[in-house]
Amino acid sequence: MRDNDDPLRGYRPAGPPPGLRARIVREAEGARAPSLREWLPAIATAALIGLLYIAATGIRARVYSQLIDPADVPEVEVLSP
Amino acid sequence: MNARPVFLKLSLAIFIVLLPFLAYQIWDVVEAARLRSRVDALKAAGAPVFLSLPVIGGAELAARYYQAAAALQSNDSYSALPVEERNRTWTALRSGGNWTPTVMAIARLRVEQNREALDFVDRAAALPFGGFRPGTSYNTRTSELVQLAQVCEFRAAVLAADGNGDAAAASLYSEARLMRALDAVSSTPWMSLGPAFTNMTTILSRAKPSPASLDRLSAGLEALDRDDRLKETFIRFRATMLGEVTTPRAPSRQPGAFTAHLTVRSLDALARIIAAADQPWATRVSAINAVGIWPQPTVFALGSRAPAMLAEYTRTIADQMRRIRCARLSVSTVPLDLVDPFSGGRLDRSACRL
Repeated sequence: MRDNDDPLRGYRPAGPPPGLRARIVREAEGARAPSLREWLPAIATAALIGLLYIAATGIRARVYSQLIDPADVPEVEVLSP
Repeated sequence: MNARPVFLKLSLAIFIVLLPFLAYQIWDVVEAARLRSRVDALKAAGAPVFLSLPVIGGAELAARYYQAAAALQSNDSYSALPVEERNRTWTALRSGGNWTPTVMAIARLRVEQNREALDFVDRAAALPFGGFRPGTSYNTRTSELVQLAQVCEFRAAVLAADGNGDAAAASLYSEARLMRALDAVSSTPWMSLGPAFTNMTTILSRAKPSPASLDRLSAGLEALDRDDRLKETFIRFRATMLGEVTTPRAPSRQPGAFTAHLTVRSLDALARIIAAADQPWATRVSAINAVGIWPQPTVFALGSRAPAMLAEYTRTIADQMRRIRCARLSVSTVPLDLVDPFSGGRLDRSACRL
């Protein structure tokens, strides 16, 4: 036996703390499945863009409908078969 | 490797990429709302936001006659001439003189080649006219109508040379009435057209028509001489512009929000221009030019040439008015008190070059 082992003589190997495994597994699972919270800004922005697009298109359609002379509707002749 | 920061980075990157699109959409909604407020205000004020045809008895028939005349118009004999001959003819037409035998021969040929077209122009002249039906336009109609106005003037010169004064006056009357059709097609903001009446004095001095023919011609010219022509032109300009905004021409790379922004800018400018067109003649033209914005919803309207474009357009319309009034002075058998659109003072016949 070497002299270096003398200071360790008063210790014995011990296992990891009891909660460590559970903590590691939980963190690993969390990293594998991204949470909705992380994607929320992007999703909200995309949704807002969509809503604003619909709003702008709707306003424009309403404006344009006022700029067409109702009398301009072309006459269509329907021929019976 | 920890996957979590990767997802975080990706979502952040997508968020950052989406931000400019979000900013554009916010701008689009704001501009669309601004456009709506302007159009609502115009409608509330009873201003026309589209060009519509007035319902006048016979007007539909007159439009069809003008359509037929334009379709039948022939320019072959003129196009076949050497450039020098064409220049001489053009000079004679524009300068009100220099009707050499060669030019007269060309005029006779053009009149002969357009006999059918002129017949329709004469028939339309006798009818009321309110414009062309939407959807009936085609690319070359405007130039064909302008050519027909010139041929009317050629015919008047030929008839005057032949000593047929009343027929010469009738041809000038048809030319004056044809200006209604030119007004209708020149509602596009890029142009303002109209007969020059440059040969009226020369033709009438040779033709010596009867007082009855002169009175008819005078009445035709008086109908054209609307004191609110400048204002009406810009009101039509606005209605045409709004009509074109609703029909985007592919392939247009101008974003919708930007077009809406420029349209609102143009509408605001036109409101100022139309208000300025109500001022007394002494200040009317300068007040319009002071607006300094070419009211068109295109990127070209933002250039440094925009104020000059507005000034040139206004000058063209005012010049057209001056020509109509000069023509009235040269035809009328009674003294007329007419205003010079440029000076605001009394228009003197000696200052006219017809």
